[in-house]
Amino acid sequence: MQLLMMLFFGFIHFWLQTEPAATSMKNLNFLFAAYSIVWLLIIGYLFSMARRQKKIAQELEMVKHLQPEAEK
Amino acid sequence: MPTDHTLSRWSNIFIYSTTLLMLINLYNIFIAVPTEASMGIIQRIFYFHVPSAALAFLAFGVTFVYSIRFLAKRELWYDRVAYCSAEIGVVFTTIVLLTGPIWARPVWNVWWTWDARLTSTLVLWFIYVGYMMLRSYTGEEQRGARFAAVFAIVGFVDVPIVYLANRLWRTLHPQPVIFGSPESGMSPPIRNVFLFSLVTFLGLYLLLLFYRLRIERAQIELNELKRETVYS
Repeated sequence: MQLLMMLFFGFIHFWLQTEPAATSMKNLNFLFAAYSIVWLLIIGYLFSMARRQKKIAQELEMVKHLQPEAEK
Repeated sequence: MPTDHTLSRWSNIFIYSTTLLMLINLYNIFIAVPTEASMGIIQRIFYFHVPSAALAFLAFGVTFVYSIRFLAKRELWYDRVAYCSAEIGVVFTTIVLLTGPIWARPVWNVWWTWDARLTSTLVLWFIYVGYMMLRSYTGEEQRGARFAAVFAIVGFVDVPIVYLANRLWRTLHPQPVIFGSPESGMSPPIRNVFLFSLVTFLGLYLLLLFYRLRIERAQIELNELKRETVYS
């Protein structure tokens, strides 16, 4: 498994034709803020969809229960 | 209207593939790709900022196409697809409008400037938020869907304006590096990571769209059941 991971990431580096670079840490806080916002937005949207789905599923169950009674 | 099984199957395909792609994408962005020489580490926002913009354009393009289809066929499902895609487009545009200023602050020394690209992107956001509000408040009837469809079609005019803004006008926003002037372009490592990120975001868009459509389909089913229960 470790060998596979090494081969995989080695391929990525070869494909990118570069070695991983040492980077300056200047503006790292801005980078962190930007990526945090992106993930918060995406995850927040997914959560809101999951909540909507749950609410609809609960309403569906309720209406399905009412249906046999209404048919009577 | 596709079945829930079809939508569910595609959702699952995109959940697994997008998760894998995103993990690789994050590795590429933070570990593999070299730091850009002039802007430093902050340039890595590029790999989320630009694909978000591209997918926002795609999402609004889908809204545009399905709005036309709705007006042609009057099938409410097309209106629903248009709405769902617009909603996701607004999410991506919000990402663009938030990551852009964060990138701009250390590079331009300002959070915001009223140049053509930034202003037209903000207008785009308002247009489609307005579309969503219009669609939500006019209910599910054909008439409300027709108004919203026309609004979405007209509003799409802003998408090429946003795209071409930094070519047509002098802006603080960088000149295009994709399909730009002969002197423009990206080095191969940066280009490859960017293209990979674009594909990842495409997967994310499709994942969100299919998941959102499943919810919409369930809502339609619920409304039909409620109508049957009331009238029976």
